[in-house]
Amino acid sequence: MDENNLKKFLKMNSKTPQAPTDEWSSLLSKIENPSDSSYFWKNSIFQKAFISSLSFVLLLIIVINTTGPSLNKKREQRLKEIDSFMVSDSYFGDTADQHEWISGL
Amino acid sequence: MFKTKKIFLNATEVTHEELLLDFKKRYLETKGFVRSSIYWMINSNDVDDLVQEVFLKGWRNYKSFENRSSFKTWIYRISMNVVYDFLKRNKVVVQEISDEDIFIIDNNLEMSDIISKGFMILPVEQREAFMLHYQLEHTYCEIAKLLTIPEGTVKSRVSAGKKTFISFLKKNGVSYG
Repeated sequence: MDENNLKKFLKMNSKTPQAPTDEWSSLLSKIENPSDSSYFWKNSIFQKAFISSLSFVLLLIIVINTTGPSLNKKREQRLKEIDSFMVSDSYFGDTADQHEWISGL
Repeated sequence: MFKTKKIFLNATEVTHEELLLDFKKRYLETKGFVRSSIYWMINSNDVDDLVQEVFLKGWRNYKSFENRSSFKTWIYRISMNVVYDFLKRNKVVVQEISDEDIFIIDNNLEMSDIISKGFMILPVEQREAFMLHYQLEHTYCEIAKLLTIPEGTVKSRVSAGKKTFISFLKKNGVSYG
């Protein structure tokens, strides 16, 4: 196929859509009044940073929510054990056999 | 094509208004080229937004533009970065094409639509080289400078793109020349 024929064919049968007439003024308004928020959302680095920090915060919340109650439970259980140890009568409890002779006096 | 001016207005020596005026001049010189390049790469109604994005990015980095390349080459690279991001975002990056991709399309489509579809079936690198050579009528040497790749690579990309494009036209009953 002839190279020039293809160029001619493309030129005749295709067209690029016209630019809006207010293209420069719209561009100028964006230049003069940059919208930081829209720039933030269009910038992939900011997007990634935002998504990763959000994921980190969510992960932190999940970890705290799952481990928090079980830690409290463990703490309560330990306190109960200490309480029961403190109030239990070890003298007449576990070592009662060893001290039986006292009652025989 | 056109030549950009040789003397760059040093950002530290000019006012905001002067810099903006200079940027506007360059925008007017390159807007058609940027618009066509983007359109033939994405074939979508988003072209207006992408053109704005390109020139906004250009303006934000204009102070760091130091005439090491021509403005046209510089803004073209920004355009293609924006285009590639857009294609990735919309998941329309074609890596390889198979024979099934060269499908028979709707007979009621206009010729311009068939041509647009023909462009879109090409892998992006081939599409870019093919578009620059056949649609925007750049020489292999100019394309090599724009893409910063060897001329031989440009030729092989253009040739591969042309082969697929012509095959697509033939399968859709389009003849020319």
